[in-house]
This record gives sequence, structure tokens and C-alpha cells, in this order.
Amino acid sequence: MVYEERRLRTESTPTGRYDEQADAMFWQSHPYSWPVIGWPSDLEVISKAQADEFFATYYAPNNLTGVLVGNFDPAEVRELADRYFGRLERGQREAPDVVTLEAEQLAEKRLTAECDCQPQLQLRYHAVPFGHADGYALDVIAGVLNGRTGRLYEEMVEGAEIASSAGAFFDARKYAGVFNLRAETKGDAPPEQLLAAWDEVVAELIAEPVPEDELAKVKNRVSADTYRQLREPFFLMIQLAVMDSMGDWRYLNTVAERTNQVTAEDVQRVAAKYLQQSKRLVSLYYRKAGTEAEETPAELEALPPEMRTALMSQAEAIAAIEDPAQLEAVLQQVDAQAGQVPDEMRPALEWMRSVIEERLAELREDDGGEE
Amino acid sequence: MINRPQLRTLSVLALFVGLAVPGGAQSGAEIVDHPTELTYGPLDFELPDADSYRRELTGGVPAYLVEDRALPLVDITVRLRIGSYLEPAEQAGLADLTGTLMRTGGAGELDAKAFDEAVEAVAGNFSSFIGSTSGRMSMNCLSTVLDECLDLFFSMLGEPRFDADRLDLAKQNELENLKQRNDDPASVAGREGQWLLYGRDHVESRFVTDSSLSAIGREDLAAFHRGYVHPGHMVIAGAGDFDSDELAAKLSALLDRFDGEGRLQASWPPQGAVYEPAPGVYVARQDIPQGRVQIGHRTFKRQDWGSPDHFALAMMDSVLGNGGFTTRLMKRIRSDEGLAYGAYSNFRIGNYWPANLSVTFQSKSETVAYAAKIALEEIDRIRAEPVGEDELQTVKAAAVETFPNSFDSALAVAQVFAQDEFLGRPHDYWRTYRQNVEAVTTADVQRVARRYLSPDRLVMLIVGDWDAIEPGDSDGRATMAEVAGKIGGGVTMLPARDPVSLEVAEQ
Repeated sequence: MVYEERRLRTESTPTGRYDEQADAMFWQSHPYSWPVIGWPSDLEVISKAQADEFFATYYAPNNLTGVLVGNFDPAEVRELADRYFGRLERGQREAPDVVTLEAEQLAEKRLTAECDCQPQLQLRYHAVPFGHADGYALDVIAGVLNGRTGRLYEEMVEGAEIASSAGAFFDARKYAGVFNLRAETKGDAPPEQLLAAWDEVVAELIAEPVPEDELAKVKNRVSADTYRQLREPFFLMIQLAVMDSMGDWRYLNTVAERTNQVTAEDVQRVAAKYLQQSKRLVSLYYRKAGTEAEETPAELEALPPEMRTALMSQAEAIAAIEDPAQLEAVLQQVDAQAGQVPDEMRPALEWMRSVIEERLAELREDDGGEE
Repeated sequence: MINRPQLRTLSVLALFVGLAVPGGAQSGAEIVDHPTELTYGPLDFELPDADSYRRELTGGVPAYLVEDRALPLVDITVRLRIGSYLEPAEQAGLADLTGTLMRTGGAGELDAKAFDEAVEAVAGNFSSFIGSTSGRMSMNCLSTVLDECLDLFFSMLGEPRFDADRLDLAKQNELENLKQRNDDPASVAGREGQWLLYGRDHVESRFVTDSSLSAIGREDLAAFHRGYVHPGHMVIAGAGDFDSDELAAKLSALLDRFDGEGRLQASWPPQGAVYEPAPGVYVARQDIPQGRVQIGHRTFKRQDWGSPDHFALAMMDSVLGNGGFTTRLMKRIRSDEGLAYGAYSNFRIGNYWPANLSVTFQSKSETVAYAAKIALEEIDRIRAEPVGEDELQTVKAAAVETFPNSFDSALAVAQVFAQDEFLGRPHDYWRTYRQNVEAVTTADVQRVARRYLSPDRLVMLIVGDWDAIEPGDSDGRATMAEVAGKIGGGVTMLPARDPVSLEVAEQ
């Protein structure tokens, strides 16, 4: 049954298995790298005794937060809670501390995947845990970026029209946080082009203070949303439980005020500190199948995205040529240019040569087969 | 942002919380051995009085306004008796785009960008949506800026601009979405299941394609809006920090801004093409490790909100598979056999046309046949034998005890009563709901199961890897040949479709 849940959530969704790999890659030492559902091999071997031990350790009153929200007399309910829950015995041992924390990431990581999905870009940056003073500014940055009047929409969806959607969010967890960006490509724009656009957005966040009215807009939204979160009893219960398990439920009472204190300088400082290339995992997703699903050849990696796309579509055109003489002519043209191209283009030129020669070889084989 | 691991923990907490409040009646008494032995005092719940919230605004527009001064927030929802059933079939997507562009395409003096900025400046949440048989526009704002918000909201409702650049963008984004609609097995199952049960001509069977999208222009949106989005089709719900008399006066003044020119009266109720599906097993091949299964047939159209059969059917559905971990499908397919994460039934009664039964689960390819066999057995069993008295008591108690949840906030109260008026459901439905549920007997459940569940009319849709699904499991517990024999009608392979045009794809 758990394995069915794994198939349902992770293995049968367009990007599920790759997202899981990305998480495992992003967290190099902290146990956040483990998928909660478990790795397939774990599911094969977990024993009843292990499950019992896990339950006894973690599902004990000394490791539990209860939340009640609703129409009742707190004193009466307190008495009832003591009466019923007070009977539960403490666990035999305390839940052990998490001792392995996340080690500092020193260089950018990259995951390149082909999936049955819209080409997309995902970024994960290491950031601060729940309750950290810089968290408020990270939430403000997400506010500046998101929404129809946000910078991502203006720069990537509406302006350059390279993304069909783009959003950022700061996911503060108990031991560490992640600042996320997700964007799906539009038309023929490759995910690398989204990355280039994003890097410009970050550069501006660092270089230029966010204008006052833009900052005020985000802060208004945070305070209105804080009231909204108090409205639904069920949702309030969830929030209190999550915040308490991460450190302090009182966060809910102070978040609006603390967010209000964030300055334009804070935004610049925090963006510069956490949105660094060396602290991120870049996940690039390409659509599988068909010619367009081909992975970017390594020789083309260094090129600007537009040039790379152009070369790849030329390669497709070459693969469709049926006449060996025409190919020979193209090859001569390429060789004629060889002396003039700048150094960084040289690997691309070699790649193009190899594409033409491969096609020539194919055509010769075909001829042989027909005889 | 709450991530999944946290939610998982929380559902456990919620379970504890649910058990923690035995009505207070037990203080001082012995603590029972098991939660099922807890006894509760009678539920003391006074149903809100719908009529006391009802106002009639300009032009006879009904509004349910429920004051709640606890937080400085105001919600307004406008429901419209319109939908995609009013659009020409070759312009599938017109109603949906009109709804979307009302929100995103600017309004009044403000172009799209300026309108968005104005809504953001007051931190408002505005939305606009037109579905197959209803339209819904809503706003949530701080009460401190209520007048500015109402002004913007009614500007969106009455004078949207449908700015061309935003329409182009919306159409391009929709096109991107179309490209992805074969990626997710759920989306394939939704489309193919709809066609199998309702035919291709039903209004709910219409799906946007590249050609229907390109047939929609700015003037079509403007005409759809002018024709149908007007006070004559509206029912309003409001809740929050306001004085009802003052708000009613404001809303009436805003409704006065609508002129009468070019308005159309939408036919109501909507009509759907009649179709009787052909029983059988249908397969949409997809290379995924799990088979996604839907089993069902058409049901019927509601004639009378007070019919005892409907309450008996709801209880039957809850025993069979529409509920939590205690339903028969869940117990056998998940808990006993571990074949699926979940297995569910949903017996829906239609408001405008016969709706459908759906039994759904996802299981790894080899066990799809075995899980399906169990599901079919359970459909037979609930017809053949009366359900247990204890089973019935459990689902009746759940329906009665959770009943107040439908009214747990001012907004919920306003929306339930506005929805009554929208559907033509008498408010009295709620007053007699609990008695009607209590009155259901095990004989009633069996009677409605025999009358309304039709094993000889079942349509089974599988989205998955047929080559792995067909032979069944290696233990020989079931094969698809066995399941197909039971359903009748044979096995039909559905053709692969181009995601954008929905035409049959060339192999």
C-alpha cells in the first residue's frame, strides 16, 4: 500500500521522480535529502520491529503537539485533555536530535532531466531556517517576484514571453530553509533562457533598492493575508501545529509586524547573501521524445541559448537531407569557416561537422541496404 | 508554504484532536477502553435562519449577507446562472476565457496592468471564473478599504476591457497547457472518461483545441460578457465586517450601473445531450507503472430535493466507498490487500442532467485486474445483501455530526444559502436533513442499491500500460479477461490523441 502511494505520488507524475532526485542532490548532508515516503529498497526491507521502534520513539506524547480550535471553554477542554491524554506514557527514550546538519554548498549543482513534461526550470537555494531574522526579507523577495504585478510576470511571462508561468517561494523548515524558483517555458524558449532571465532579476534585486511603493504593496499583502489565515478554523489549527513543530506558534502573531520592518536595504543584503550561484541547485527539464527532446550536446553548452537553439535546428535540418552531394557541400562550407570562428565556438563547429558526417555515413549504409 | 511531510504529520494530529472532545459530558465518569465506546450528548446545533440574511437588491437580485465582525475582512461572491453551455461548440473555451479575462484584461478606465496594480494596492483577492453551468466572481478585501474594493470589483463585473495583449497572452498560455494535457494520466482519464459516459456532444464533453481557441476573438468575449454577465443572472453572497443594511444599499447602487443594452436572457436550466454509454472495458495506453481505473455508469437527474431515495443513496455510497478508511472499497482494496493507496466511490445525482457513478483507484499494473474484481464484487454485494446495522449507524452518525461544518463560518452560511437559491434547493432541505438521514434503514439502502446501481451498464476506463495490466498478477487471482467477461462489451483500445487538436494521432 505504501508502495502504491509511492507510485501514485512520485513515479506516475510527470516530474515526481526527478524532483525526488533533485531534493536528494540539494541536501547533501541533512536528512531532508530522504524522501518521506522512503526509497524503494527501504520499502522492501523495513521490518515490523523497526516500524514499532519508530512509532514508540516518535509517536509519543513527549514528541507531540496537540491543537484545538473552535467553540469551547478553554479551561474545560484543558481538563479533558489532561484527563484523556495525560494517561499516555512518555516514550522510553527521547526522540534523538538531528545531529547531521547541512554542510555549506561550495559550488553550483546541476540536474538535467528528460521527462514527459513541459520544459521547465527549478532552482533551489540554501537559505535560513524557520524563525530566522532574514526569513522575513526572503518572504518579501518572494512577494516582489510573484503575482501578476510581480517582477517574474513582468520579466519572463509578459515581457520576454519566454515563460508560461513563474513563481518563487521561501520554504522555511525547522533546520534549514530553501528559496525556490519554478518556471515553465513557453514556445521554443529553452530552460536555459529562463535561467538567464532569472539571473538578471536577481542582479537587479541586489543592485537596486526596491522602490517604496513596491515594498508597501508587498507589506500590505502580508498583513491582509495574515488576517485571512486566521479566518478558517481548520486552517488556523494547521498553521499553529506547523509553526509549533518548527519552533514557535507565536510567529503567527508577529509575522506581519516583523515583515513591516523589512527595509529596501534588507532586501538587497539578503538577496546578495542567499541568492548566490554557488548556493544553488539548477534543475533543467526537457521534454522527452521526438527530435526536440534531444539533450543539449556538451559542445553547445557554452553558447548563448539562442545560438544553441539555432544550431540544434540546423542539425535537425541536416539529418533530413537525402542527397550526399548536398551534405558534402555543407561540410566544405563549415571547413571554410573553421579558420575564422572565435575559440569558444570551436567545439560547436566540431559538433556540427560530426553531425554532417554521421548523416553521410547513414546515407551510405542505406544505399548498401537497398542493394 | 506547507510541504507534504508536514501535512502528513498534521493529519495524524488532526486525528488526535478529533478524539479529544467527547462533548464534555464524560467529566468525572470512567474513561472507556476504546474511543468507539464514548457516548455523546445530543448535538445542540441551531440552524441559521436563511430568510433573516436575505435581501433583495436593485432589479430583484437576491443577496445573502451575513455579518461577522471578528476580523476586518469582507467577502463578496457573485454567482451567475450562465456557463459554457451558452457558447457555440466551435468556440469551446469562450466562456472560460471570458471569465479569466474579466479578471486579467483591465476594467473601466484602467488598462490591464493598472487594474492589477490597483487591486494589489488594496491587497485585494479578486477572482473570476465561468464554468460549464455557473459563473462565479468573488472578492476578499480589508474592510478598511471596502468602498475602493467594491468599486474595482463592480468595474471588473460590469465594464471589463478584455485588453488585447492579455487575451493574446491567455491564449498562448492556454496553448501551452494544451500541449501538456497528455502528460498527466489524470487529465487523460478525465477527458476519455467524460467522453465514454457523456458522449462527444454533451456540453461538459467539450474540450478546448487549437482550432477552437483560434476561433475566439476579443469581440466574442465582449459580446458574451455583454449578453450574459448582468444582474438578471446574479445571486450574491456576502460575509464579514459590514453592516448589512449599509452594504445592501451600496450593492444596489453598484448594480444600478448596469445598463440594459444588448443583454440576453440565458436559457435555464442548461440542457445536455442525451447519451447512453456502451458498457465495456476501454483502455488508454500510457507508459506508467500504475493503472488508473474509473468504473461507472450514468445515474439520474434530481427531480425533488426531499426524495428519501437520495438520502438512502448517500448512505449507500458512504458504506461502499465515499468516505474515509472505513468504507468497504477502502477496507478490502487498501487495508486488507494493499493493492492501492485508496479506492473510492462517488454516486452523483445530476442537477441538470443524469450525472454518473464513479469507482476509482490506482494500482500497480499487475494488480489492476484483481482490484477491479474486488470493486465489482462489492458493487454486487451491496445489492445482494443488506448492509450491516453497525455500518449504517457509522455513516449516519458521520453525516449528522459533521453537518454543522457546512455552516462553520459566516462566509459558509452566506454561500450555502445563496447556492440554495441558485440551484432551486429549498432552504428547508437543511432543516430536515438530519431527520432524513436518521430515517434511512438497511432495507432502504439495499432497495436503492438494487434500483440505482446497474452492474450490466458499467463502463470501465483504464489509463496505463495495458501489456502489463492484461495478464493480471502472477498469483493468478484475476486477469483482465475475467474482469472484462464480468463487465461485458469486450475490450476496446482508445486511440492515442494529439494533445493540442485532440484528433487521433498518427501512429
